[in-house]
Amino acid sequence: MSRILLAIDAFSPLDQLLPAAILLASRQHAELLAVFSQDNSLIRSAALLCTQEIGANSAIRYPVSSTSIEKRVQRIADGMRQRLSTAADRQQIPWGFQQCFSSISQITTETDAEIVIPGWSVSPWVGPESLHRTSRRTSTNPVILVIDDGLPCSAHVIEVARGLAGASGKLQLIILGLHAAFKSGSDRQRMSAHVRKGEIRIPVASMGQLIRQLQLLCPTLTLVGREQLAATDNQIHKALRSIKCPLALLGRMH
Amino acid sequence: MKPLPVSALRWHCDPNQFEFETTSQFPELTCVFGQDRAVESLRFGIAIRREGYNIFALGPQGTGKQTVVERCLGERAAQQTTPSDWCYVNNFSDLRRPLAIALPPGSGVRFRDDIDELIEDLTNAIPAALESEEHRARLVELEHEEDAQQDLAFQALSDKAETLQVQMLRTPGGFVLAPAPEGKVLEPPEFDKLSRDERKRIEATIEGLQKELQAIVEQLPWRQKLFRDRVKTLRRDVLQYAIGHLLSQIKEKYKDVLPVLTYLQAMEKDILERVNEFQQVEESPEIPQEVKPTLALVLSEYEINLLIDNSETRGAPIVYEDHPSYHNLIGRVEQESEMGALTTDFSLVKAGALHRANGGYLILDARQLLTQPFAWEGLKRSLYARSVRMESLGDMTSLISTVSLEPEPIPLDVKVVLLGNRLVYYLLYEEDADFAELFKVCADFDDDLDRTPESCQLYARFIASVARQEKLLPLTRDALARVLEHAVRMSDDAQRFSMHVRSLTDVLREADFTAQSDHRSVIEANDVVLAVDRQRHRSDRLRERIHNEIRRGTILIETAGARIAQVNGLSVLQMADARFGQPSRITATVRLGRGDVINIEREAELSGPSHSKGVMILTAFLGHRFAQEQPLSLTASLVFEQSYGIVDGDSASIAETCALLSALSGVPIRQGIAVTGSMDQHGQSQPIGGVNEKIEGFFQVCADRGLTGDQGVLIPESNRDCLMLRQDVVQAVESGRFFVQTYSNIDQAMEILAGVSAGEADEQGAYPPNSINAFVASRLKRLTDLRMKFGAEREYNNL
Repeated sequence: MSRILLAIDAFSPLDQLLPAAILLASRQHAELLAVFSQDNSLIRSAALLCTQEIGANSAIRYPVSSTSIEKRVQRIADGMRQRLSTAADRQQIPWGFQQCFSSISQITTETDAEIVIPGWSVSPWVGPESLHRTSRRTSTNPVILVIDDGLPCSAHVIEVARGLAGASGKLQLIILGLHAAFKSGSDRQRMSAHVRKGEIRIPVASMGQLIRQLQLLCPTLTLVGREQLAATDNQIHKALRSIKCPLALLGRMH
Repeated sequence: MKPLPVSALRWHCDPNQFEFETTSQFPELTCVFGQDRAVESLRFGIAIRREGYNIFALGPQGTGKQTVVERCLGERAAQQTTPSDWCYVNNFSDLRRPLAIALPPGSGVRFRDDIDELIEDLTNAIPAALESEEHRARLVELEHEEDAQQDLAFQALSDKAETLQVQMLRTPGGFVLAPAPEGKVLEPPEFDKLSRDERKRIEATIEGLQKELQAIVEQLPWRQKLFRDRVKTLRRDVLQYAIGHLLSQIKEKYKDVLPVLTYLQAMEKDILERVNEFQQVEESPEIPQEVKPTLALVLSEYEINLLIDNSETRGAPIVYEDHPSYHNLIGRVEQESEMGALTTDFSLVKAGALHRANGGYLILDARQLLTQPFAWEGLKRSLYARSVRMESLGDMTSLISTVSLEPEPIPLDVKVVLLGNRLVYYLLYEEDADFAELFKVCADFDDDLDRTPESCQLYARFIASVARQEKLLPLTRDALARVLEHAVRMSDDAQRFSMHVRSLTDVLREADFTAQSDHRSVIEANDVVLAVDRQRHRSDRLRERIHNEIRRGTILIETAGARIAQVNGLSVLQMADARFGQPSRITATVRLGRGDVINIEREAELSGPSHSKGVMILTAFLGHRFAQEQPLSLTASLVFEQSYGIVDGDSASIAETCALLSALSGVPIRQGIAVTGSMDQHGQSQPIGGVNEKIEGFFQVCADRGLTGDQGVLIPESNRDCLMLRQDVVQAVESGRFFVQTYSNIDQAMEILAGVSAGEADEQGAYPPNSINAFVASRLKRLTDLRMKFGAEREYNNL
């Protein structure tokens, strides 16, 4: 059985990540494994007497200890585990939960799972309640596929995305084609065939356009090949992180 | 003194005086007929445009007051300008006080439709603007910009901390700063190993960074407010562009109507102020769908409540409110039940009759108005204030103290016409000081009309017009003549026509029914006679029952022979629409006494004040005539035999006096003659009412037993012109089987009843021998002597 890995920590937006992970696991008939990252530096820092906690909303100083930090983090981990259990059992998806001291990025890079969902928080410093949401959703909930023409993993990602959209019946597939995809008549035919099937292909000619499209579309789930992220041009990575929605990385690192 | 001739007993209307065969050929009577005084008052009251000149049209029911009032009002109203339309709109600065807007007549509907169309356009334009790619892109840009700024501040501090070998870490509830030389946070034992100075330096560094961190966190709310303001400004700009041109079109259309323009400007301002609300209408997933306000619901607050629409009105409005309750007059604020609570808004303000009549005329029935709680007070208040202010009865009486609407009062310019009877008018005038202030014009409708050749012709045209309006068959000349005769009979005076239009109309309708039942094309004289007879018959049960009792001898009435101290008086009974006369046996007794005339009815508390007064007058007459120089030494008793109900009126005082004189003189009174009449202290007869019914009542009793030819009725001379007797009575008189005779004083009445001369006093006050007065005087003298004798003996015995 294939496996989907959900890498999370105490600041991951589980409200968005969990439904996306469940959707993928259900479609792929995969096991869903959540790995909870604990920050050892945080626990060590709380042990020092000179350390105080500054409230994120009130700016009030509180005394802190490693024990209290550990307990709080553990409580969060337990809560996430419980939510995973409830959601997975409802969909009859096999699941697992582990805790480790590696960071989300390390987990994402080092795992051999077919699909990884990195649970990066939308901001390294600010919680989601402090972030701004003036437009909460679009009228449709598309699946977005970022395509970099020429990379083989793109085709695999498109296939998975189509399967996902087709199985759920409610998700729309949008493909962002970098560097303009309309070079030949055959491409146009493929585009109109895709449109008839409920897909939308949007040509994107620059990174700026890519970022803008990602920000506007605000999808339920973004599928990207892991090799695309490993590409030297890491603007795609930053663009993806800025969209503040669940990201799934397909394929293994070579 | 002779009995009256047949010609004096009934007025006969000659059909030949009418030029046409049927009433269909009569010209329509276009003017108001027979109410000159009332019409003149009405026209004056309608024309004068001063405060307090409202009108009270008084008169009996059925005299056509409402018809006449509406006709007079209609004549004037048609020449007046149509008043404004009125509507209520939301008051954005105070939702509890909806604003009233006046519009040119007929434009209210257009304005409402224009606003509805505008709202429909806004329902599409607002979401389109707020969901447009451009707007969303700009919003997302703002969001990311702000988020990036926040991250930047923290990141900058984190970087600075790093240069100072301090690491800034995020906790589940906030942040911590910890010493981290070479990027790794120190363990406590490692920290303890540092020198004291080093530890202090690190602590001071951390302290400084914490203060900077606090400053960043403290700025977050302010930054968020700035962000919200920027978003709001962005949304407003987008919305302004989307709605601006829609509103400018409608503003241009109503640029000459300042209140509308003001409202549209306020509306635009409100829409822009509520831009966040429009955004949140769609985006509130936590609110259940069934309670989520839709955009249409929010925009409905800009709709127009068209209170008064005068687009169909020509001239000034004339409104008749047939149920003048407080709220039907003043208007009301309705409420709706929503999720178990009562809610209201400006759209639930409903107009009352005063609103509908504003700028025109309002007709109300006075009795109905006065019987509705608080309606009269509400009307007065509105007239004084010259505005209509809506206030619920609950609020007014402080029974309910919930938050409710207070719609802006609407200026009132209305003339009120109250319809009522005379009693209501006089009571209001006496008891309510406001009434005289507010209703300075009284239009007094007459009960009847002088019968002259000219009025006869007009009356005929009037009947013809009524028949036409009622869509009845035309009347023949003979039928018309019978109707006119009936109108005279209804007035109780042969010299006058009754103006009780309703009763006459009923007769016409019933005559029409008879004619149509016989498949005829005109109403004939017999139809009218039948209609009148049938009306009488329908309510004749009681009269027949009484006469049956008389016939059987249960009620003892003698119509032959003579009796001392007993006379047939006459009375009229009226119950609902039944009115008939019947004889009453009046008896008198006398004995020694101190001059009292006992009214047994009064002693039994069955005598009304008028009857008691009549007996007192009778007593005074007796004393005046026979006790100038000696005390009255009798005790007399008078009674209406076999009468067990209230007796009122003084129309039997002549009869009672005759009975008493008969008792004193010992002269018997003919029982075949009935007498009716009122009397003054000098014995002069005075007119009475219901003379026709009284005569017919006694005639019927005699006729039932068989007329003897020496039976009849005595009536006061002053009632001669009131006679309008039934045909059978007239025929009986004509054939000498019955008579009707007038008299002027008590002596004449006694002479006819007793067949003995009454006698006239000479200069010494003595009466001729064998006259009635002589017999009475003699008897009274004897009684006085007896009294003196008894008085002297008692005094002697007391010694």
